[in-house]
This record gives sequence, C-alpha cells and structure tokens, in this order.
Amino acid sequence: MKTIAIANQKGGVGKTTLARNLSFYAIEKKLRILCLDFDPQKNFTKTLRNFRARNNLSGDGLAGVSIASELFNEKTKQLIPLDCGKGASLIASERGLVDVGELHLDALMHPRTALASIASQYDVCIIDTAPTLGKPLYAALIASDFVVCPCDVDQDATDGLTDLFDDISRVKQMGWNPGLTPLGVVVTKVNSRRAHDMQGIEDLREALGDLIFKNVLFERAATKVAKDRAVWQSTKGESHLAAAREMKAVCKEIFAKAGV
Amino acid sequence: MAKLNLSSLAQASQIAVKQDADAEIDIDLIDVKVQVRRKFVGIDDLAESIGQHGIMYPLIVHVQENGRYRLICGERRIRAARLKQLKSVPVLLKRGLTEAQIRALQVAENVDTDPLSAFDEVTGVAEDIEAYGPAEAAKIWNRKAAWISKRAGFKGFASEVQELMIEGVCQDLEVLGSINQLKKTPGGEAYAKSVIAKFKRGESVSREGVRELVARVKAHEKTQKDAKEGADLFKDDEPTSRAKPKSGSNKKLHKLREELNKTGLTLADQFKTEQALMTELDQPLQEGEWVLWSSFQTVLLPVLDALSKDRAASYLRRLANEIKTKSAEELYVELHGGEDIRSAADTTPSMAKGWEL
Repeated sequence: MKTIAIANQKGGVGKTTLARNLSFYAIEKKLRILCLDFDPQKNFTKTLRNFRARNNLSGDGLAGVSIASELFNEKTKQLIPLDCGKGASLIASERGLVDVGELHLDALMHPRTALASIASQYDVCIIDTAPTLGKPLYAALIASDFVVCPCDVDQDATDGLTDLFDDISRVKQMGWNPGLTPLGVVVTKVNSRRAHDMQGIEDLREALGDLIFKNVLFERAATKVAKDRAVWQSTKGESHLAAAREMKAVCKEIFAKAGV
Repeated sequence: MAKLNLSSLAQASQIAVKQDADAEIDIDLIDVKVQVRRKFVGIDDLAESIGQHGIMYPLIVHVQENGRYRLICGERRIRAARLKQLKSVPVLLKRGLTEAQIRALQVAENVDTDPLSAFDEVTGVAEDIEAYGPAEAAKIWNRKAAWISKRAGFKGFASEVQELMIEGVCQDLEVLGSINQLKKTPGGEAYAKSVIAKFKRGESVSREGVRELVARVKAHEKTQKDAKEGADLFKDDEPTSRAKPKSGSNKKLHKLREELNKTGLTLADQFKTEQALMTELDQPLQEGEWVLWSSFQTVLLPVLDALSKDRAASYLRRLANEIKTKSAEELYVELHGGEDIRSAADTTPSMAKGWEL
C-alpha cells in the first residue's frame, strides 16, 4: 500500500479537491483505495459517504467502523474502515480529531502502525489533511510514503509550503519517518489571463525544479463545483473538458511518480 | 502585483528531499530475514566497540509496504546493537527494490561491511573439504575447483595474515595469499611487514601492488640463486677473485650511474634538437608528433626491455602518477637536489630510509 498525504498549511489551495479526484481516479483504475480524512472539516468524508450511498450500500455506515481519531489510540485492536463500494474504503473524520491535539507526542506514531496492520488490503491510501500545523498533520506525515502539496500562486500559500517542507524535514531527521518523500507541488487555481499567475508558475519551476508537477490546475468552475464526482465525469462544455483533462493529467502524474 | 519571493521555499525544499543517510530509526521497526549458514562470531566484541564509538557505518534497509523496514546489510551490527540494547540505529534507506536487487546488494556489500561473512565462507569451505573432500565441497558450494582451492589455502596462512581477515581489515583472498607468499619467500618478510603496516594505517593495498612485490622478491631470489650457482661453478677456479669484485664493483656502479646521468642530459638535448628540426622543416602536425613519439620509444624501449616486465610496468605507472602533480623538473630536483635539470647536486643519490617503490 502506498500512502500519499495531501498537505499544505494554507487553506483553500485545493487539498480536498485533489484528494477527491485522486480517489476517483484510483477507483476508475480499479485500485483498492483507502481514504483517510484527517481534516475536521469532513469534506473528504462527505464525498466518500455520498459515493457509498450511490453504490446502494446498506446502513448509514456509522456503526462498528473505525474513525480517524481511533488511529491515535494504541488500544485500538483492529481497524475496520467503512466499505464505500467499488474498491474504496473510508476512515472518516469526526469531532474526535480535534481532541487529538491533547494527546502525548507518542500518539503521533500510532496511525502509522495502525495503517500498517491493514496495508496488505489496499494498493493506495490517500490522506486529506487539515490546513493547520497540528498533531493530525504530523501523524499523516509520519504515516505516509509520499506528500503531495497543492499550492496556488500566492505568497501566503508558498510561505505555508516553506513551513511544510520544514516539517517534512523534521519528520525525517528525527527518525519518525526518514523515508518520507515529497512527491512535489501541484500548482492550482491558476488564472491563465493573469500575468502574475503565469509568471508565478515559471518562478516556482525555477525555484523548485522537478518538485513542481508538469501539469497544473487552472481555475475553472467545473473543478470548483464537482464535489461528489470526479471533475471529468459528465463534462459539459469546453471549459469543463479542459478542467477534466487537466485534473486527469495531474492524477496520472501523481500516481506515476509514486509508482502506484 | 509583486513577484513571488521563493528563496526560502527553494532552500526548505532542498532539505526536505534529501534522503538522509544519517537518519536514525527505531531498532524495533527493522525486520531481519533469516539467512542461510550464518555463524556470528565476535558479536560481543562488536557490541563493546559500538558501546564506545556507536555504529560508524549506517545499516542498509529497505522500506517495506507495511511501513516497517527490512534489513539488507548489517546483520552483525544490528545483533551487536540489540545486545547493547540500543534504541535506534543509523540507516541508509532504499525503496522500490525487487527481491533480486536486494540480494545483489547483499552480495555486493557483504564483503565490505560484514567482514566475517568472508571468514565464515573460508572456514565453512575448509570444514567441508575436511569432511567431504574438495570435489564434494565444490558441489556443496556450487563453485569451480579453483575457487575452492583458493579458499582451502587460507587455513595454512600465517596467523598475522589470517588476523587481517578476522578483524575485517582485508577480505581479498588474493591479496592475503600474496602477503602469505611474501612471508614464505626469503627476503620477502620485510615486504610482508610493510604491507601489513599499510593495512593497519588504513591505507589501500592493491592486488597488483602486492603481486608485483611477490614477483620482485621471486625474481631477486632467482638472480641470487643463479649468481650463487654461477659463483659456485667457478668456486674452485678463482677463489681470490671473489674478494676483489666487491670493491671494484662498487666503483664501477658509481661510475656507471654518473654516466647515466650524463646520458639523460644528452638525450634531453637531443630531443630538444629534434623538436627544433621539426619546426625548421615545417612538418605537418602528425608527422612531427610521430617523429618525437617514435624517438621516445626508440630510447625507452631498450631500457624497459633491460628491466624485468613487471618492473617496466610498475616504473612507468609510478612515473605516470607522479608526473600528474609534479613537473619533470621538480621530480628531477627532488631526486638529485640542485636547482634544475642541468645542475644536479648529487648524481648518484642514495636510497632514503624506508623507501619503497
């Protein structure tokens, strides 16, 4: 199982959008995917729940399944993700995630160990993270093989990235997860008509080289609106088509780099 | 709108992507796959050493799908670390390797970082030869007879030489065999000592280097033997003439060396003249080069022929090495003193103490 965390300490850069579309991409590729929502905002969770509903799976899916905060509990004996159908499973976010902040530092290692126990059941795990530096983010970094960082062409976002890279380095150097590999930065919400944005992409490429994914995501209504489905599903119109192409290209590039 | 300031981001990202060889991981996260035919001798000593200096060379581990790490190289170190109850060990991370690639790494690294595997091999082979004979041993180890006999000899090596392998200083059986040969050959003991000293200083010793020493010692042994036989032949004919050549020979040698010195300078002049003539004749580049090169060979090859084959190679090699960093004039002055090639202070320099080729 290859674990990919989607992270950026700035909010609104497109983390959940990317997590959603990556998951749909994996499902279409018939991969066994585990979706892990570490964001108390629960947007990723909602998408997978709605997917589950569309697959006509019984029950409300709340009883007897594992939730995100349980991953931090060393007493959790068995992990039972929620089956959402078509090879996808979910470990949902819930309020308990907020309390994780009170836990001892040791708890940060538990999600990695817990996920390891079910690793053989999945091909890929996508972790959506919260736009805050906190224990869940650290735990996600410790549990992951790879990190993908969506980022828009904005000084606050790139500053947030700098902090994230510092955290990645710390996680590696402290020996918590020396194998953590930054897969790269996906430039998002680009306005092709704004010279600043287009210049920003060039500047980012110059500063980060191979760390910038070749494919970028332009600001498009379709990308914004598609919450419960992949952007490329039921495309209507040229802009939508473009959005679909771009998103698929990004997903393909991410999986290729991760060796999924 | 202001341009993005990305300098600290660039820096931070550089550090984040580093696969840090100095990473330390929890020793309990490392799985060790049981290996066949492993004898682990000296773990206590290694543990002692680790207690004092820590682990000096990172273990090599493979990142597994389940988040744990599989040991590729460093089984002795991890056993010693566990003995010392260390919580973490320094590692070098590998990922995405196939089983075959992992095995290849183990085979490649085993000799370098895990000294006793070579010793295990050698003692294992020796035991098998004793128990089953060399032919069966070859079958057991799935190797040719030459491979087996190379290892069979080890048990008979001088203890000093065996020690080199046991302590992990040298696992190259060819080198060890050559050193043992030096010890056995008359006149070679001193050479053997100096090679062993090199190891103890952590200096590199090449197979060819030791092989040349063996050849030289053997050649020397032969000429001495021939000379002795020759002298013995005439022993009864000219008993008194044996005493004289000693002092007479010394004078002759001295005179010869001085002559050679002059010859060298003469040759230098001749080559300079040749170059001047080529310029005068306005020869095309390749022609001129050819003339120089062929003259160079004409002068040197007879000299090389007079020296033994191994000498020719090692002399040229040494000169080629020295001329990389120093000019011919500098080397000459080092050798003869004086200020330049024309003003040698000592045309017959004596050997410096402890000099070796």
